[in-house]
Amino acid sequence: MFGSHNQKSMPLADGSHICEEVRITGEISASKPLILFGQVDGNIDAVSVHIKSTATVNGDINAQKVIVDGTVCGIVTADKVRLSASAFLNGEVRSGGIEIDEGATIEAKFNKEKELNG
Amino acid sequence: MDKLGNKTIIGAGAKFTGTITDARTIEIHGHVNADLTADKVTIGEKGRFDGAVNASLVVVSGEYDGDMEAGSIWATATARISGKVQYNTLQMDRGAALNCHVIHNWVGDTKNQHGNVNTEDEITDVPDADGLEAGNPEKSVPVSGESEKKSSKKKKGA
Repeated sequence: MFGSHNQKSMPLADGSHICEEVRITGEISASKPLILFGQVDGNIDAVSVHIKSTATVNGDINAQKVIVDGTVCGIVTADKVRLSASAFLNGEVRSGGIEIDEGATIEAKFNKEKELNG
Repeated sequence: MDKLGNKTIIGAGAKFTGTITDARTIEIHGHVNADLTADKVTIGEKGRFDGAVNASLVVVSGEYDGDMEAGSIWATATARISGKVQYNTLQMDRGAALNCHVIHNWVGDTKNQHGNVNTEDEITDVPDADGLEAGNPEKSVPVSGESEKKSSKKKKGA
């Protein structure tokens, strides 16, 4: 059982990855990319956040780059925000550059701000 | 990304505070302060975990402080563990540092450990002995049990 574990096989040791069935409650801050498939209840502070279609975030997101394919309820503050067709957003977006694909469900307030995160 | 399958990773440079539930396999290379329930937990060499862990397998290469309940624990050479640890099986590599309360948790094993109690039950459970139980308490030796069997057959025959 122990021997089968290969410690060198860490494909994504750089970034963080929260998989689908996982539920997390609390604060996350990451200096490397964060990819979410599961549910996060809490605030996120990261360089880049990718919220996949299976993911849900209930909380504020603060990052340089945010891609939303899933569900977000909260305030998204980022230099660049991309809401794809499957995105569901409820809250507020504060961003210098916002991109929205056709089909995204949005119930939010938008603020265009410049260079929020330097 | 799909290669990772069901693995959750808290990467290096990530900090997390809170609770994590339903994680199957989780790797921690960052700094986590949380309560965690998972199947398999790996704390990487540069990872640090503070908080309670409940898992079937925990591989510790980094720093751990908290209350751990695990089926199996592997402390590799770089492991530093403090707090309290309950386990069924433990492996320590040369160099691992355990500064903690260590408890071999027998809960899972007690059934097997006291198996001899069950052997007595098995003797009394000999199917043919059913009709004779009234006159013969459980302490009957197997040999005598066989003789009783025969006698019971005789009775049936008569």
